[in-house]
Amino acid sequence: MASRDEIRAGLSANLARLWRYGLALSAARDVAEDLVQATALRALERAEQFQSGTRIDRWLFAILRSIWLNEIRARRIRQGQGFVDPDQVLFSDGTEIETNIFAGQVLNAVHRLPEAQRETVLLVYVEGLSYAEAAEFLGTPIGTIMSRLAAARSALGRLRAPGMSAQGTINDRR
Amino acid sequence: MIGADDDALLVALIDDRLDAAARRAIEMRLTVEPKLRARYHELAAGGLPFTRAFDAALAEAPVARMQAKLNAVGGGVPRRRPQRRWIGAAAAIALLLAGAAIGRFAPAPFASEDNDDWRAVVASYASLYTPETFAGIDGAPNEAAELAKLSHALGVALTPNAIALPDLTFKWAGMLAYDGAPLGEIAYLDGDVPVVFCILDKSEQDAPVKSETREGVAVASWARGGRGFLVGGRISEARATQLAEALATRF
Repeated sequence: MASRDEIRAGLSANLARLWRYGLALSAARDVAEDLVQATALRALERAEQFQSGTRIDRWLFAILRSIWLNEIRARRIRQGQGFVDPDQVLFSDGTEIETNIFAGQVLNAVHRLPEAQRETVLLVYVEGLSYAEAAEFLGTPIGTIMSRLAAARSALGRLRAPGMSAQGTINDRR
Repeated sequence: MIGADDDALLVALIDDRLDAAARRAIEMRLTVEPKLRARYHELAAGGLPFTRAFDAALAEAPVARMQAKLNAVGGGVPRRRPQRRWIGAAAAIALLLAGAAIGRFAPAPFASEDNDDWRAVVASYASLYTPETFAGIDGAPNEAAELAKLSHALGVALTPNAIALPDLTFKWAGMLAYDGAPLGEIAYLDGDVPVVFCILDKSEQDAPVKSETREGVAVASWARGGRGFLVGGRISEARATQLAEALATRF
């Protein structure tokens, strides 16, 4: 059983990663920030449910995902807001586009993927979960994880801009 | 025809997540099945530098603001600090959380303790900052854009040069509100100690730099042109005064 201080420390240490996960799910900066705040409140309420010694980042990710699926995403769809145009999402104020056009291209390409694929790409290729860990986290068979990654790669391969080098080719594995 | 099972195998091969036997089997097939080989290259080409790109997104996360929200959530901190000033700080942060463009109320004459209050609230708020609050934040890429927003909201020309202080590293700038008036905050690290420079756009009588310590936070403040200015942090009053005097020559 964990103390609220332990949960607070875990939240503080993972704010940026939680926001990035929220961004990958929602494709909107403000929603990502709201998701982190809601996650913080929920995690502190449920501090007693966290098992000390287990990975707090995964526990917090799971809370954020649950809030996204059950509350925010559902509400946005009900309200007919749908989802923003991925081209408008990241770096919409233009600042990062100028300084980091390359990262912007990759992120925008990923954001054009269906939600399940971009979430799986983030968890496996960025957060470094094994296929089995991702399958357990998302509650899907391992085969679904691999299929999503294949579908994502297939789509991204068609979008890939000239000059972008590949990650994860047989000679350039992570 | 390449099926879903083959796609899954190829992705696992590309990601180096097959056991030795499965890997040998698919590599053998690649040598004799041109369509499978073509598909392998298609999928490999879809492997963008995800880590680098998403790490750039990580640097974009509004960590200071999220940390402030986290600090504002009721819990251990307020229980340990049941002072009225905390309530003021929480109220100020709540305004920030609302994210609202809070209109400026018609300025009313207010007593000197009102002037003191905003300093107390900022001191309370600044007392919650720790070296970890801004750790890992690279302020530089967003500095000009964040300052431009503050300039617009406060009517003060804030540029990276104008707010630069020797030995201090810019980390974050954002808008808060105090009693309906725009309150801009610029956060730096002095070594690893967070220091804030705040500007309150609410009528104040001109006053020279004066320093005090509130809740362990040194505060050096002055007023000019109807605006209040403040430098604060867990530094010495002499250091706060030195920084404030440097800024007071510009604002």
